[in-house]
Amino acid sequence: MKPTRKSIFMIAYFDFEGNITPVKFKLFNEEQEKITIKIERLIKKELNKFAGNNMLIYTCEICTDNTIKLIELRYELDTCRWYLY
Amino acid sequence: MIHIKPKITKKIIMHIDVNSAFLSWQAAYELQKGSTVDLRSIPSVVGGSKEDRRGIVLAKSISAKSYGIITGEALWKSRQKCPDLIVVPPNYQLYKKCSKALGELLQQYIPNIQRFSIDEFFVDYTGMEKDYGNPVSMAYTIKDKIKNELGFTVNVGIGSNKLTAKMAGELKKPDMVHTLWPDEIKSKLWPLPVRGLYMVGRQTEKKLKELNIYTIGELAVADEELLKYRFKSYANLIRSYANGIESSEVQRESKMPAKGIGNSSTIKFDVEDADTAYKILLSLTESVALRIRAGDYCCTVVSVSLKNSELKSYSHQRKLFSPTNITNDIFITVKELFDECWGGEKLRQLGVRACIVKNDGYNQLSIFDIQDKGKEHKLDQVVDSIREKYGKTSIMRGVFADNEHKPVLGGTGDIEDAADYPSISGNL
Repeated sequence: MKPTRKSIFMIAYFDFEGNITPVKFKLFNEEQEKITIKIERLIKKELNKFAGNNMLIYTCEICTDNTIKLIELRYELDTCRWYLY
Repeated sequence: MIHIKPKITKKIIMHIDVNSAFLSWQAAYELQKGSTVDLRSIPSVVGGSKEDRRGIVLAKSISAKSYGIITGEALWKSRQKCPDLIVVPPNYQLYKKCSKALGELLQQYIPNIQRFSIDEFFVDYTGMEKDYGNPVSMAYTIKDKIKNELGFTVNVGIGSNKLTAKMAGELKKPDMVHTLWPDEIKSKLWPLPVRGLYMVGRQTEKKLKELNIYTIGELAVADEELLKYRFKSYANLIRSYANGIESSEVQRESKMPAKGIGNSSTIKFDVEDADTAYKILLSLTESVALRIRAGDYCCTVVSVSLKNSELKSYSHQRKLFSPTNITNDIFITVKELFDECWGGEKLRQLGVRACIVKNDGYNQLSIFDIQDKGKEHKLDQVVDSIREKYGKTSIMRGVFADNEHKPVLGGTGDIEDAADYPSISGNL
């Protein structure tokens, strides 16, 4: 039942057309330390309109501990919040 | 002379109804948030909180239905039937958002749509076969698009008028498309129990059973005089509905004007003294009067309804000397009515209701009016504008300063919600 998501600090850029591209984000790990993660590559971007709630879903590649991982970032348009899934 | 025969086009109406709306919407929302469990696949209900004594089932999942849980029953009863039941609180802002999104999606295809209630839409498909083809295949397209894009399932009913479309949508759930054309009425609609017919409620069902009418088919062929004797003009309506006759248009955004505005609230504790009851009635009056003024109406009849701790309800009403929309004036009558009808027992639910007419800007003065009405009007206007800008609780009466009671009670959220997103409607 419990959603597996985390609120994150995000730096993203917004272009003339209104496209949003995430650049890097910060979050607290289990030891409550702040860690910064850079987004290496954007794989996919889609708009999810479930339950009338608009969310931009980004599938991205990040590099931590010298391994490349796939992650999902979501931007909730109504609340302007970023989440890591 | 050339006669041009007007081409008679058969009307095609679709009715789109969200399957267990409140629950489906909540489930879709939770899934989007990342939940791994779909509420629709487990026994779950949307219900009020037990502490507030608003513990009834508002919507249920299909698997909860198999335990015999029915909408409207007390939560403790449901828990007895199914101990692992999951109860989620209602979230009206979410429902509003879902309803809006559904309307926008339908608008992409069809210009003429009507929001019938928060989870139901009527769509006029007449003359659109050229663009979109067969109505049934189009219904499937719409249904699947809603499912994929918005994450909840709907039933689509197709008929030759709004009534048959609505009845078709109720045939079998969930996630289905049904048709109910005039030639199918006998086979599909008539065998159903009479209670399933739109506008036949619990009381009518009881009366019809006394007349030995159990199915819609029996009602459709019942003796007209007999029905008229029992139901007066209402007989015509239900009899023609049973025959699938109905002719109202799909009205875009134009609503039937409301005849009355009312708010009621179930209180967390039993109300035993008049002072507390006055306070609750005042806060209800505040929200009723706010809605009256927001729609530019005046109130002509005030009614007070009470429900005691034994769940017996009664009400009392009075016509006002002259129409008014001043909170204080309405409350004076509310208080009088309460004093006249309250028997002194413990109360569980209180309600205030007003019959309304459009405000014409004139006021009948009486020689007994001492106070200056103009001042009161202005005061109400100022209070309304403050509440609109800063929220309902931004300004309140001194009696509510102790924070024991809400200064404005009743309703689900915004003032305009009740008018734009009714949860149920009695007029097609």
